[in-house]
Amino acid sequence: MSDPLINSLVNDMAPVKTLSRKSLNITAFLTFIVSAVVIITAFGVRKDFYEFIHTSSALFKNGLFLSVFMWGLILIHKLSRPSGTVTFVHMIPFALIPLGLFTAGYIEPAKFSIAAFEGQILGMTGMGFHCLATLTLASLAAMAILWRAWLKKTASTQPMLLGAISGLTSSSLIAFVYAFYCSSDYALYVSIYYGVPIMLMTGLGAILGRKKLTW
Amino acid sequence: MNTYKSDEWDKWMRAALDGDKSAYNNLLTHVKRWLGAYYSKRIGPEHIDDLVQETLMTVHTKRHTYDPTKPFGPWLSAVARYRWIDFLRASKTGLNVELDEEAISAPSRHDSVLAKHDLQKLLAKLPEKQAKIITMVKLQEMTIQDVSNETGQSISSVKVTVHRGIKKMMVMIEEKAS
Repeated sequence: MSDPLINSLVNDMAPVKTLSRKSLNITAFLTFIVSAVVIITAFGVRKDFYEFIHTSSALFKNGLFLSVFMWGLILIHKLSRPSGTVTFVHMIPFALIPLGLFTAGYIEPAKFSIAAFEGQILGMTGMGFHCLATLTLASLAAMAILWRAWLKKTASTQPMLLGAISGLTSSSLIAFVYAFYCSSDYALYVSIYYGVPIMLMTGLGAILGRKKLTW
Repeated sequence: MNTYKSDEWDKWMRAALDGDKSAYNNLLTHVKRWLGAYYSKRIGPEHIDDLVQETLMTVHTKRHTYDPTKPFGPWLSAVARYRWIDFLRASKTGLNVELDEEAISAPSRHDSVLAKHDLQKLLAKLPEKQAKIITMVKLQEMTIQDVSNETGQSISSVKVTVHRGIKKMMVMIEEKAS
């Protein structure tokens, strides 16, 4: 006996392209290119760029955000299908952010001191807010691209977590690119002026994920 | 008859993704039986058909999220489980709506002027065609058959349109409540 709903669904069906890791990677790569072009065109790179990329600061600052971005992409891909779930263990690499910043501060304690805080954080309020505003706005744009190109096609059983990771991943990508321009390498500075936009985007992603990624 | 047959179902799903209607028909027919058995252990018999229909529609709309290199069973189980949890959540908040034909057509005992007023507001947020069909079924209390004749759509298409529309409205109510 034929079922009217099944008949209707069968008649409605057409070949479909399934979600693939390749298209997520292409989306991420294009987002990286666009954000790099926009940020470097608008602000340029730091004056000591060639020296900087050979220092431990580059490893901590750029390397940290690049690692978080790459791990975020892996988790987004994993979470995008109903059968993909993420557990607490998968979240451990994200502890790299506070751990990396703490280590940076521990290795260079002078840069983590109150004097440094006063001199480099409070004294650079204008720069700090520049970083904060740029990172937040650029991250919003990156997240919008990711949502449009990938997330709205997903069907995750953990939509809130997927949204949160999308915010974290987008903002980490922007932080990675922006760090080639921003010459403030102090751990406390990075913790505040990079940390706040990243946390904001993660929270926003979680809220949006809960509302918009349910199916 | 409702046992999960990995090799066969995987093959059908992969063929369906390439546009093979016959394989898709086989798959959905078997999946429907499997879902009936799955939900019979979890919810009351009066809700099984609705949930099976809803899950079949989800399988259809989200089939692009199936990874053809993996077995179909875990993907289907995850979809079925998600729909079940969604159903429980809706039931818990009193937002569960009967979706079978009789219940859609029949005047609800909870329909009051206020409820209709709210429904109108929700309908305004739906696509015009969908809102029109729901209005005919729910407010004008026309039968599915009459709506089908009036709009020129098939009976199953009318059912699916009403089903999806009510689901969208449930989401709107849930969002408003939260």
